[in-house]
Amino acid sequence: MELLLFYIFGGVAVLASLGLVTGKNPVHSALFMVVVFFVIAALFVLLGAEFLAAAQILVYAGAIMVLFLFVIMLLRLQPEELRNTSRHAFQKFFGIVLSLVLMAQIALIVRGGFFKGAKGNYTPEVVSGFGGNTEAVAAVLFTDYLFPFELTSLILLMAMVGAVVLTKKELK
Amino acid sequence: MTEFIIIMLVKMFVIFGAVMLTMTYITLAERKILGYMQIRPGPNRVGPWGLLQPIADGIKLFLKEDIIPDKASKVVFVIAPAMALIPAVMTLAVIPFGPAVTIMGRQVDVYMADVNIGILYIFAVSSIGVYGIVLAGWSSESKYSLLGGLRSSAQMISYELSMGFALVGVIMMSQSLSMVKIIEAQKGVWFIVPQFFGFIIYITAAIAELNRTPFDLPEGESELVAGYFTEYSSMKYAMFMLGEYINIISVSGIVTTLYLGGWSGPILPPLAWFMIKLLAVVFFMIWVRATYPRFRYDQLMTFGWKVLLPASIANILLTPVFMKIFGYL
Amino acid sequence: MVTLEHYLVLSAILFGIGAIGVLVRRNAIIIFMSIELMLNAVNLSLVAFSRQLNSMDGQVFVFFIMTVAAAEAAIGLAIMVSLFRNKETLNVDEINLMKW
Repeated sequence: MELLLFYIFGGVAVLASLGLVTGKNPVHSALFMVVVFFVIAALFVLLGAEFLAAAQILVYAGAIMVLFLFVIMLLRLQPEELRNTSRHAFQKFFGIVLSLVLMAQIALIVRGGFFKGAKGNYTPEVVSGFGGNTEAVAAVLFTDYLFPFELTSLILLMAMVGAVVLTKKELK
Repeated sequence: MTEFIIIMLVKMFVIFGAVMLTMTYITLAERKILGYMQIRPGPNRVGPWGLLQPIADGIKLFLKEDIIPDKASKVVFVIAPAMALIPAVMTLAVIPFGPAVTIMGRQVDVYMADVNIGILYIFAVSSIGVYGIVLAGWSSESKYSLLGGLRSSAQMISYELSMGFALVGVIMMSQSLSMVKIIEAQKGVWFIVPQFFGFIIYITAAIAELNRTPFDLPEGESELVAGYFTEYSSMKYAMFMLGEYINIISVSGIVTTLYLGGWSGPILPPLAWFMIKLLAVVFFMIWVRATYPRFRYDQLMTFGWKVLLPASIANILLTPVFMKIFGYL
Repeated sequence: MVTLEHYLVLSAILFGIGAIGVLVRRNAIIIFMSIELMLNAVNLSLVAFSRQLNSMDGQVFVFFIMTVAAAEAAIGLAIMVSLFRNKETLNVDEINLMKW
């Protein structure tokens, strides 16, 4: 059952991401991206990470991609023109070949089974003892990772200020 | 396993059917109530008191010619109404309509699922509701649609924040994200009392999210014809309307669950209490529609960012103080 | 039974497709989306490791990556808007001058 679901979601993820990189129209690419976010959220649920699944849809599909679509709509982008491709005639070829090599390398490493890390404390029983995945994530996030967590607020503040400064027409 | 699937399918059909029926008659109730509030009878020709009016409307929309504009981006144009409808229906999955009842010797819950991330799920699903509108606006290749879509997406992104922050107060008080646990936490006092400001902020932001008066700028007919669905006709238009009214029901269901104590109440069965509270919230929204004029766009943005958002953050800060004083902690 | 390898291979495939998108496409917005795809592929493998190793750290990392991705999207799109205002194109081949 789990395997079947994995293959369905995985297949959809691969097809949609292919659609994303081959789509001529940015809006179509954005829609394929939304599909990828959804199936990855579904895979998170399969992996028992419900909080991240909800956050994935909330942050990626609900905020980031809406921002992308908003900008695409605002700029009235036309489908990608085909001029100027001669300048980088080989880049397409080498790009695809090198990426395939990268994929093959990662797959080889994975098949080799070099992952022998020490097991942590959060077994499924412990997690359900906390009351669920969300509580367990919070328990780690607000203790061991409290300082990085506070730092992310600084990153978000910088992003906010940066975005305002960059898009403002005239600085007064 | 098969029994589980059959029970889930039956529940799905029953809940979906009941919501569709309620939704149909909410359209009629809205027109009737608006009519009486404006001292006119409202629809009264089709059937007694216009009771067959929703059916007549449905048949009319169904039989109309389906027009796709020549320049429209066809695939997106067809997908957009579905994208508006699906999140609305998805929300219904976690709304607890009633506690377990015994049917044919089996304990059956009157809700699809009680997931332990209930509120987060609702956030996530309602945050994707904006896609239908953005895509409809973009794909129609019409300036009114595009402007309506842009306005609406900006509005929904702005008000989503306040909506989310308003709910944090409820999560703090109930100490849980599960909808059923939140109802159980309201055994003593409904959260509308301790979380009154949160309730006001939530329902204001929710009305803005639903694009209803006084926040219905995306479809302000005097300036934008009909906003993002100007170019839509027939069943595709009907799907936008379906999505909008199912959303009204799901938002009312959420308000009922989070602030009004859900299914709990004396004497009457729980399901009846839930329906009474839900319809009261729906009536409130119709009342608001009959009362207020439309905002100007800059007023809308100012209100969202400079009033509602700080108020919701203040609510988060004040809730723990309140909880300490009144002994919730 | 779905093993760690399944998820890692899927993550590798998605990462590779994202890399192809970054290298081959010329539209800055699509390149940006491909980068988001690569980030998501990494997220997937982190969560898979997190389950495999019974540890919450992987999920916390994913949470941080999401925050950074949100910040990155805001800044990146702001850059694109101001770029489009000045050059009226988002084709990266035509954006080849340091100062314009």
